[in-house]
Formats: sequence, C-alpha cells, structure tokens
Amino acid sequence: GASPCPAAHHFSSTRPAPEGCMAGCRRFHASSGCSLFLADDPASGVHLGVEGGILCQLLRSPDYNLFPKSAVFESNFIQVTKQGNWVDIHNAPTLVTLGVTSSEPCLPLPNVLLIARLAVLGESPLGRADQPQEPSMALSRLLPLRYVRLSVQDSSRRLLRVQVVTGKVYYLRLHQAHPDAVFMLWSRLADILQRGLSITTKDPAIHVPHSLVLSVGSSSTSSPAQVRRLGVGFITPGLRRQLTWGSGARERDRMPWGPLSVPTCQGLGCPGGPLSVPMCQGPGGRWGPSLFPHAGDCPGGPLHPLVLWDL
Amino acid sequence: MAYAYLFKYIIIGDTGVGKSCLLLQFTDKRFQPVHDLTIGVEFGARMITIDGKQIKLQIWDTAGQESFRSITRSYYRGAAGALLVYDITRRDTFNHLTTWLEDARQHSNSNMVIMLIGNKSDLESRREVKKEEGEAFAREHGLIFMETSAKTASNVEEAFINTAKEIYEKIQEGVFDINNEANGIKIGPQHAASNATLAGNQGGQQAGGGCC
Repeated sequence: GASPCPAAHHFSSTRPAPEGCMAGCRRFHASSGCSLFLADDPASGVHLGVEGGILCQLLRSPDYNLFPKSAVFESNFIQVTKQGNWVDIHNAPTLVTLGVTSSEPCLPLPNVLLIARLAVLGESPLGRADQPQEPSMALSRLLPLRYVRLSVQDSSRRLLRVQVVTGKVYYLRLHQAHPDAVFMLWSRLADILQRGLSITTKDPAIHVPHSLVLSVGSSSTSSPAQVRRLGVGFITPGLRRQLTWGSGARERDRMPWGPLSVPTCQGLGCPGGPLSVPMCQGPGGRWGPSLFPHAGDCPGGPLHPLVLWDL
Repeated sequence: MAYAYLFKYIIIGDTGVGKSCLLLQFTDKRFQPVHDLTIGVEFGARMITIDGKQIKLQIWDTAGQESFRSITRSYYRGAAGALLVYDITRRDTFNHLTTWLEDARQHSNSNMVIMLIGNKSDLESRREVKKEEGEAFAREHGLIFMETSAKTASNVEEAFINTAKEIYEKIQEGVFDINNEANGIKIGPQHAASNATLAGNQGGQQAGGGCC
C-alpha cells in the first residue's frame, strides 16, 4: 500500500537528505501510481531533479508535514524581469523553487502551488541525492492554483510567467542546471492547468469499454451524480495503465501530469479506496477529471475536516 | 538551527489590518507601507528563546479578504497560537472579530492560544476603537490582548513572544499534549538541552516579502 515519504528526520538545510527518504518517495510513487514519470522508471523524476527534491523533503519534514501523500513536482528558478534580467538590485540571482502538489493525493491534478526561496546556493541546486551539497530552503508561499495562472512567457529562454489573481506577475527562468526536458514538463503542466484534461471514449488512443456506466451492474436509472461517481469505478486496470505515464509515447504527450494515472488514494486521504478519481463534466459536456476539483468530491464521503483542505 | 520546540502560529483578521506588516516587522524588523494583497499563505519563521529554550516560531500569514475566507479556514489545522488582528482606526475590523473568533475556535484545537492585537497604534488621531474596548473583548473571550504598531515596531516583539510564553506555560502545565502534532507543537532535537533563563530573542529568518 501507499506510505508517505518517511522523511522523519529533522530537515536540515545544509545536509543532504538521507537516501532513505528518496527511496521512500520512489516506493510511494511507484506503488500508488502517483509517479510523475515513467511507470517502469519511477526514479526518472528524481534524476531530473523534479521529484523527491528538497521542497518535497521540506514539506514532509516534521516542521511542516504538509501533503505527505501527494507527489510534488518541483524545479529551481531564477526570478527575472519580463526581459529576463535579474530582479535583485544587487545584481545577484534570486533563486526560488517552484513546486506543485495536491492537497489530497486523490485529486487528478495539482491544486497547490508552493514557492520556496533558496537561501544559499550549493553546487547542486537540483537537490539530487547523489550530490552532497544542497541549498537551504525556506518555504515562503502557498497558493491555491485556482488563484494562479501559469504560462510560458518565452520557451527559448525557458521563462515561465506566474500571474496571481491580484494581477501581480512574476517571471521565472528555469535554472540552468535543469535540462530542457524539465521546461517541457512545466510547459505541459501550464497547458493542462489552463485547458484542463478530459477523457473521452472518442479518443482512439484510449481503450475504453463501450459503456462507462453499465459494466458494474449499476442501475440505468442512476442519477447523474451517481453516474458520475460510479463512472469512476469503470476505470479498469487496463485503462489505468493507459492513462499512466509510460504507457506509450502518445499518452505521455497528452498527459504529462502523472496523477491522472488514477492514484489509489489509500489511507486517510481517500476513504473511498482505490480508483476514486473525482470526475466532473467538463465545459464541453465531456466526462473527465475536473481542472480544480473540490476536495469534497472525494468519493467515499467527507474526509476528516482537518485533513480536507478547501482549496 | 536546532530548536527545543516549534510552534505554529496563524495570523488572521480582516484585510488591511496589517497582518503581513506585523510578520515582516517581527521577522525582518522592517516596515513596508505598501504590501501586496496576501493570497493563500505567506510563511515566516524566527527563533526565540523562552526559559532558556530555543523555540522556532513558524508563522502562517493568511489572506484576510472575505473571498479567501474558506481557504483560510483550512490553515488553522495544527496551529498552537493565533494572532487575531484588527485595525484600531477601522471600527468594522473590530466588529468582525466575533466571526473570526468563531472560525478560529471551530477549526483549530481547543487549546490554541489566541492573542488579540489592535494594530496601528501609531495612528492615534484616527483611532476608532478604544483600547478599553479591545481589552474588554479579550477579557470576555479569554484572549490575551495588546495594541501594536507594525510601523513603529511597538509591542510587535511582545505580541509574538508573549503568545509563545503562554503556549510554553501550557506545555509546562501539561495542557498541551506535545506528542500530538495537531496541537501545533513539535519537539525539536534540542529539547533536552539549555539552562539559560528568561525570554529574549535571537536574530531571525525571513518572511514573505520582496520576491515571490
């Protein structure tokens, strides 16, 4: 079953995290289906520096203990002006780590943006376990993604644009230590967050049984709400595999955000058990995971009020 | 840095009462007259010393705007202390205290220490809420009370540190179950150590300011 990343150690900013934490994260992602990357290579996210990084460790440290069962996608950026220049008046780079995660692991898309500041830059800003020097980090902001618009400002300069609902805009240039593949992931994420995702039976790339409603022996008179929930249960293991990263290049291209891989939602987060993906009818009337699903949509009834984050 | 305890604080209150400014003053010892509207949470942290023990304050500065209220509620989880702030120059922010208090009581643990803060005490000429009214409200609801000025730094240290002292006393009295993280207290690696006495403070760490 899924178990949280056992980052039981006190987060020490200057020391590298024990390998155990990383390994725990990998195990968790691999077993829960929450991995952001290829199912057969759950460590690839770690090697790219976007999974199991310092922000993930910080969130799971005893100091914060936030989102312990959710995958965290993170990268390091330099805050710049729209033109790509450093914003710091002392002409020094302002390093930030940007991360997205879900307040509940059962949500198909991330709903939380995290911003942390790298206080001291070590030689390895990627937070990889195999490199000893890591920067210290201070969490500075937590933003519900529904109040943020993430977009690509300039892909050639690997520049992201982050606009908060208040109108404030930040420009972030992906740190040079990250490969271009990481910027591609951010681009895809921005695209998905803006446009949403939907799964339709008309898409030949996804093998779906003819009826999404009938195969569980449910009544044909189910209310729309019932159908909506029951529909979740029709995601077969085969379909789940296809929706998971690594099931084929085409699926990967379309679905860069792994949690669409139907996380199993075990433990406190989702009493409804496996396959409890909140679904909703998209703007076009198609069934699919909602872009910003309310955590209350979690099948299996309301969660513990202290666990349920109304994001 | 090693600490004996970590206390989670949450700062709540109407928009524009000076929550973020209080945090900035406490963590960075500076005042920023214009501050972006807070969305979600801005974090700050600082080490203080109480009874010779290093205590890390992890401070969650929240959005005061009504439209973000439902989100703010989710941040009460595991807070050991709350700073409930109103603006002494805006009567409406004082009138809304009851609602904030209800929210806080409903969504936090029952032992959470709440410090009522009447901020902007430097603006005496524009005062709309008497100090006695703040005191009376605090007395009636079992809160600690102080008037502060984030601008002049008056009582800012005291507000944060006195709240921590109250939490610390509750720990000593056994009111807080420090092994239950829902109480917003974490035991740090340095818990066993330390002999020095009395409260004071030591240089701090950051707060959500300047950059994103």
